[in-house]
Amino acid sequence: MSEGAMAVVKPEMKSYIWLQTADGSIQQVEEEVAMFCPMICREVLQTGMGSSKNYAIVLPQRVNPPILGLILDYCRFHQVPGRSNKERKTFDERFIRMDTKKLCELTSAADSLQLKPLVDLTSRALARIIEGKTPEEIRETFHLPDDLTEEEKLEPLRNITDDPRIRLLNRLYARKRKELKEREKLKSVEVEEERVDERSVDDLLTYINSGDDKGVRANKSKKKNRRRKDPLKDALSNKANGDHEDLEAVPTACSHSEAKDLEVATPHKALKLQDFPLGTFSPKLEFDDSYMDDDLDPAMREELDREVEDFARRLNPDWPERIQEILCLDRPERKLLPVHINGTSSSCACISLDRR
Amino acid sequence: MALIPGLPDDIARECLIRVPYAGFSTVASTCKGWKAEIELPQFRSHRKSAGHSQVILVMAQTVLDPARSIGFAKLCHVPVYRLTTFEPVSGSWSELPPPPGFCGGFPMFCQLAAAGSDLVVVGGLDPVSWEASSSVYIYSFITAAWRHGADMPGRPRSFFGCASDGDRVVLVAGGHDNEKNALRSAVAYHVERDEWAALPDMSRERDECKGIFHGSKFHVIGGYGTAMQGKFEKSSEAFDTATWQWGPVREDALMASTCPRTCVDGDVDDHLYMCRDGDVLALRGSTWRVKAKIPGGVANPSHVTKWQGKLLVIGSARAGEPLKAYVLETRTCTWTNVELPEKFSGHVQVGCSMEI
Repeated sequence: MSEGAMAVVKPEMKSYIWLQTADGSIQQVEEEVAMFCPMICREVLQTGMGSSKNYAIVLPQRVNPPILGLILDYCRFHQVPGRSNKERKTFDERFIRMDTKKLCELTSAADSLQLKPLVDLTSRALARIIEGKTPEEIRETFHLPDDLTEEEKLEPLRNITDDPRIRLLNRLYARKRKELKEREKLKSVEVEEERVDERSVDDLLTYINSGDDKGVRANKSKKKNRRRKDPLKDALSNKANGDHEDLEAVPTACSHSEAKDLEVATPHKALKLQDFPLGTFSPKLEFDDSYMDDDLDPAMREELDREVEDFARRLNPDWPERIQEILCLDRPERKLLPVHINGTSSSCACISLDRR
Repeated sequence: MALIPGLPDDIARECLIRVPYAGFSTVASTCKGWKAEIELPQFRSHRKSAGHSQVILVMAQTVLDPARSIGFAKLCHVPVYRLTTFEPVSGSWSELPPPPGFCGGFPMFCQLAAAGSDLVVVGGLDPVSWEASSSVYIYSFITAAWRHGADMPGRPRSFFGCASDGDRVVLVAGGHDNEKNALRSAVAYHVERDEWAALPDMSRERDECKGIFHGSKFHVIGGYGTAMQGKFEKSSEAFDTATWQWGPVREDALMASTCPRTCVDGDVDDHLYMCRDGDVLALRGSTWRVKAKIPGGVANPSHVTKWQGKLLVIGSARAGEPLKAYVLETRTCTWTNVELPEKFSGHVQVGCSMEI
């Protein structure tokens, strides 16, 4: 049995395959690991190569020693039959954590060895990288030319809710909203809310009652008191921004500022942000419980109350007109026609109102 | 110029086809090579055959502001529609940005059709003037941008049937004109060429008909003639684009004289699916049979969409009750509940499915 021609059989009956990389270096690899690569497997079976150092299998040029090491690590793990899907997935997630350049080399090498599962893993990772970057960053990472004209470089209209951060926020806020609803049943919170609103409603009532002859409207606003929480806050925030479209703009895309991002979450929270321009609040609000009403410390609450009063005073000059619109319409800037729809849509009759 | 320098092109393609559709516009704005690649029809078919395409259900849904779900807001409320998307696999909901310059919400009773990676919005009633619109808007999921298509030719029509072959052509048939005359005319829109072509007239006038694409033909189902206002027909006719002719009228396509709103094309051997009185019915040959019972007490859903092997049913148990949504797997006849986030629980008027 001449050593040169036969496989080296170790005492524990392990077989090795000899592989040669493009730089000429040769290494031996456990048989079961190497055979996990279809290309190597085929070479061994069809040509009988790889059984010794002199007859090492020449690997494709794209496979250099460090990349080969990575590939063999992958094979070594996955060729073990007993592993669970979860184990494999966990290994894969950790395995692909490397810089983009290496990831490309690895993809290329895996492809040349016909290791499809690894090609799938690495190209998915690259796809995720592409998705997460801006076109500029992609060009830099992959060394691509900047050859599109300005019009071709469209500003992608990303949906607000596409942002995973916003999605997480939305989920959190959905949970908070549920909690809030439950808490609202508790008397103390109700009182709190009422107090805040009461002041400004008083203000507006006095103004309306004193200023004009729109007695009917005043009555309406009295009735609406019970539901004033929302329309009032709507009014306050709308005025605060001087932009009635704000709340309507919530569902649409193309908002870039941080404040608008948070707006998407709930109108409730968004309104608070707009009503009280306390800059320090914003970053904490995303996840901080102390933002909730019943957890506000008295000093903060006082300040907020003052802000509300302030706003109410500032708004009063335009109030009668504004309250009229709010009470009668959802969307003041549209002219509404009386409508009756048969069939699938809900029917409704509306008061028509012109917004100058 | 290689798609990704350092990688063979077919590997670069493996990466690109794995980019989620939300990243398409980024890919298209990176460089000329990538833009050209992603716009190829082969890109979409490769993605599909490799199992990386994503199903999106697009719907025209009313805006629901959770803060105003009660009280006066419900009374004075003309429903405003915007396009929402639902990914059945991930369960995530999102919104499409409105076309630039749009202020009033989508046309009511517009029709949606999917051609390749383009979403085509046809016609509808202008939400402000209530006039029938002939406009065509197209949203490309590749560029994440809207464009204006050529207007529908002829007199403006509404409540027509609309269907797409999923690839290139959108067919519009029937409906009624401004004098509520039922129409028998039909037109077809070639999305890429942005051209409309007139079709020969149908045998019957069909107002409020349903258009579906099945078995390589366009089927127009049900509807009623001018003289038979509201008395729906049970018949259907099919148009063959190869022969450019309508086939003979099939008299008893439907099991009863009923609105064909919930008709969708069937899977495998089933020709049609339809929902009626709490059941999902399937037409095979010339017999209708009950395929499944709709859960949640939803007797007559407002909207049904179909994609490969699955059916989405949306409706409420009774008018005014919250909306429910379920997915039926047609092969096993098993139902899955779909959670509707508050923001996406508005009335769904129309929708279509896309696979990109």
